[in-house]
Amino acid sequence: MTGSILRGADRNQDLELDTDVVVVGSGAGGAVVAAELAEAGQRVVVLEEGRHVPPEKYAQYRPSESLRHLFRDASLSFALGVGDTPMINVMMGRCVGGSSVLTGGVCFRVPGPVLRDWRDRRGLTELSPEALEPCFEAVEKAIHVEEVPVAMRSRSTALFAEGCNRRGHPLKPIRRNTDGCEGCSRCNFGCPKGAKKSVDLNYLPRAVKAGALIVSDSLVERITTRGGRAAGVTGRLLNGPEGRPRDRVTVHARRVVVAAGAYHSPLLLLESGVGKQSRQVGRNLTLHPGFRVMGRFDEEVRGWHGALQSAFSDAYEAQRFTLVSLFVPPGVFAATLPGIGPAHVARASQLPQLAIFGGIVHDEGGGTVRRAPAGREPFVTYRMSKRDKETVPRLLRTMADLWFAAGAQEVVLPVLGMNPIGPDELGRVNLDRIPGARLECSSQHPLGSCRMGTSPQDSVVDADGQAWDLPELYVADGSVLPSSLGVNPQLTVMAMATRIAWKMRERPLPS
Amino acid sequence: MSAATHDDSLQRPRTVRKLQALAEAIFATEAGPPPESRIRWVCAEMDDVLAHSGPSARTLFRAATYAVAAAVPVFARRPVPLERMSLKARIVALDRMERSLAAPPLLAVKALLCILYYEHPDAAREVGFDGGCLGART
Repeated sequence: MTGSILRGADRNQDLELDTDVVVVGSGAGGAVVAAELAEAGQRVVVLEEGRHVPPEKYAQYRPSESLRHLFRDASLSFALGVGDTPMINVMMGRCVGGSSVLTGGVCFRVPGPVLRDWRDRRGLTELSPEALEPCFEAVEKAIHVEEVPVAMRSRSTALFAEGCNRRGHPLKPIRRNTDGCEGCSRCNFGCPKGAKKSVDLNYLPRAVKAGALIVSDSLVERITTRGGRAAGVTGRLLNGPEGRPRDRVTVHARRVVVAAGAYHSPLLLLESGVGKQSRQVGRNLTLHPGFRVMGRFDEEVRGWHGALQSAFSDAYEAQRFTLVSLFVPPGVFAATLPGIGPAHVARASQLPQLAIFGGIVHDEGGGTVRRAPAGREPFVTYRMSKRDKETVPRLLRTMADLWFAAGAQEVVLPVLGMNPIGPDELGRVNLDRIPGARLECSSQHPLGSCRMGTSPQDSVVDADGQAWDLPELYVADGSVLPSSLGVNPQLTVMAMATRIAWKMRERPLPS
Repeated sequence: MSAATHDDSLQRPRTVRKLQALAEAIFATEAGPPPESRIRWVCAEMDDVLAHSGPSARTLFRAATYAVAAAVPVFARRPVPLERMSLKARIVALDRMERSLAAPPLLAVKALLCILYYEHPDAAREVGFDGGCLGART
């Protein structure tokens, strides 16, 4: 049996389907569940709000065109900072394949201390390393996880590595889901060569081959219930003018899986009245607030030649931050360079001499996803904890020091309007007193807003991913992670989705 | 490279004029603003980006643009609308704004303008960018 991909935008009438399992979202979580269940013989329908862009088209897009066609809201999604917290630009995918199309491909397993915290402090004894091992193994095989060789590092990353070596904390190689990568630094706008193994190249084709139907351009608005359990979803096809919602989509299902990401899964649950008892839906959002620090060198760096992400440092985990290599297109570089007019243009002209590295805070949470008074996007706030706020200046100071150790002439900190600093200025800049409003901060890892736990008093789903409030409703994406990871979450999200799918397979479908 | 076009522009003419005035200032060199055709191209691309974003993002971006436009006369210490202010005065005002606590809306506008502006082949060439893979390959 072979399924198919149906473009909701091309359809001219309502759509009504009957299936065993309906999956909302086709990203790293939803795609895994869809493939695992379809291959087990269950009838699966996947509803994806974004469009279907065939992977061979990614190469035709400039970065800003990827923003338009593959990202949610053209990457203009934010978490509003509360209490001296910066405004955080949160990047998410909105296409068949979801954010997996837009990651740098970085694959980490759950760090040991995090897993111990889940078991010892949160009581999730089922999430042991032994229990998760087969899930990680299955995913790593399916998406071809491999280590990035040192030879593929960009000059930008190589320079940062020199700084780390001089400070006694060598970088470690990153693992990514790639095969045949040539290193052209644009993974996060859709790999132009099909080398990054996002779920649209493996799990979704597997699901379709096993009979699943994927419907793109379909916005799910509500989970329907019958007899006190989840019984399907309703929504609209985005087939109106300019992609506005028009015709109805209704799916009757025996089981519902929500995998719309940490912003939209809780929103759908809230819209459907799920979670009124525990009041945990939408709370506990973590973001891994991220900061980019640039170093300017006398030599030509041309950091766009090489793997976008190839190395990391966990040497600072005790200080609650992780350093990860990255690269950004020239426009993003320029956007964060201080200055207006001639001052800005002069700095942008130094682009070939600029190197860049990223740092993410292993945050404690403080984000909340709420229904907005109007529109279909959630209203998200984020209040950094005291400890996370104290982490930020340490992270910036460390990264600046590492750039200077590597021989940088100047360092550009992500502080709005702050001139680049020289090596002798680092000690004089009081980073502890920079207001949150002046920090340039971004996030690619929203997690935890429908978190997993052992009690409805402090979580939304149980250890198997099933909602406490509504039988036969499962959540299987980054929103179920019980806490932030401190590292890129893609692989963990997929492993958790695998585990949830396997648990679902063990339970007979309701009649 | 042709700019994206829309028959029914999502940006109001007033917003476009404000964006043009901001882009001229941000990307000006000692010799003056960048070529007018490039600014027009950026604004047309912006239109297309906003057409593909959701209503909340469009509203947010418009709000940021208007907030910056409203703040510029304050930071310039002159009661002159942004669009009628001299290039030099705009640059001074925006520079002051970027160093202030009022910087976040300016960052939102500047970021999107920069992403688009440096995708223009001439602008990319001027800053020494030769990463072919980050361009479109039709």
